[in-house]
Amino acid sequence: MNIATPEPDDLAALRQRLNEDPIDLEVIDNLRSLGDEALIDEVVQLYAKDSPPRIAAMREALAAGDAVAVARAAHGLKSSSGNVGARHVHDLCAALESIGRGGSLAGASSALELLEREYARATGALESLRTS
Amino acid sequence: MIDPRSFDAARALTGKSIAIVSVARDFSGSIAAGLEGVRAHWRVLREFRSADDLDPFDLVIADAAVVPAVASCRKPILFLGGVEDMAAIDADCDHDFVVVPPLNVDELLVRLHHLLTRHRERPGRSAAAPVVLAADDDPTTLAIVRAVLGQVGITCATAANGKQALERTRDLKPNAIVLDVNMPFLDGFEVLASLRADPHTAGIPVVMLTSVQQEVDVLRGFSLGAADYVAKPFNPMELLARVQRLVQKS
Repeated sequence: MNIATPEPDDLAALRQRLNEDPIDLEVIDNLRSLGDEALIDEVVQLYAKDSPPRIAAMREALAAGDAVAVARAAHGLKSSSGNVGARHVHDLCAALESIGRGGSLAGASSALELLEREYARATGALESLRTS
Repeated sequence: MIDPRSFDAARALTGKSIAIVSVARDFSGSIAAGLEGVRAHWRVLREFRSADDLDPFDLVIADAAVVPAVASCRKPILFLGGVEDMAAIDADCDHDFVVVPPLNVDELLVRLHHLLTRHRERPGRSAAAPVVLAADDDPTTLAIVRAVLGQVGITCATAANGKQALERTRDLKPNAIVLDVNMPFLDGFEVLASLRADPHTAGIPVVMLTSVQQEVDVLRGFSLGAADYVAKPFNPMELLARVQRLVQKS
């Protein structure tokens, strides 16, 4: 964790919620209500394939100190995370996007570290839902 | 959410008379407060005899439960209700809707403003099998949009970026377009502006898909001629209802 810079308040608040279920089941229910279990399979697989490059892009942009690119990559992952109910990943992307748009990367390293952890939890939970 | 007082909604709604029909008290109080904030005149009608009663008003806000009674009203109507109620609304009446609960008064004011000011769009095509183009660089969004539209027999073509969206629109002449804002090559606003500048595509209704953190995009989209918007993360059934409304009009 980057302890050299203070966390933004919203990130600190978000950290408090991370012990909750990583997946918003209402979103999954909405997908199920479309009447096609194969859709959940498809969407989860697309998410698992599409997300790692976006996270890598965030990491590279952060290393390069490119706040605009951090915001852009975070925005992309935020959208798909919302679609699969990965609420903490979604919220962390929103926090990173906000940090990036602000032009300063203070707190971004800490947020990205949390995001990677939450992404792993979310994909694990999604995989369980898909196979259950 | 958008602060309607920060743009010209206040000017558009100031002095307008608005009927609030059969809306639950929990909501009507909040709506009245919102309308007072933009200095509109309002009147709560718990009961009414016919749609003619609504003629003196500029706009109508009605619970979706009274759709059959108010649908013949000649004034623009904003319905409140669940997504499942929206499919029952007659596409011929000039309407929009807000999904409740919860009630978002700011969204309601933005949609009232849009009802008052929007351009009516009638695409030239009336195909038996509607085609909708979904443009988004997120494949999960495209999969969900395709699935939900497919439920009602709408064929969904897709585009993964703004440039492809323009090309596919010109090729397919879809009945409506679901357009993301943040896309590679050309963003949604650039696509929308290009569509409106081309006489062959100018009349195709466009639903903008926008992040809830970029409400200013909604206003920009409307000013460029978007017919509607849906905020991300989105409820697929709400998107379906909004697209169906536009497709049925085409």
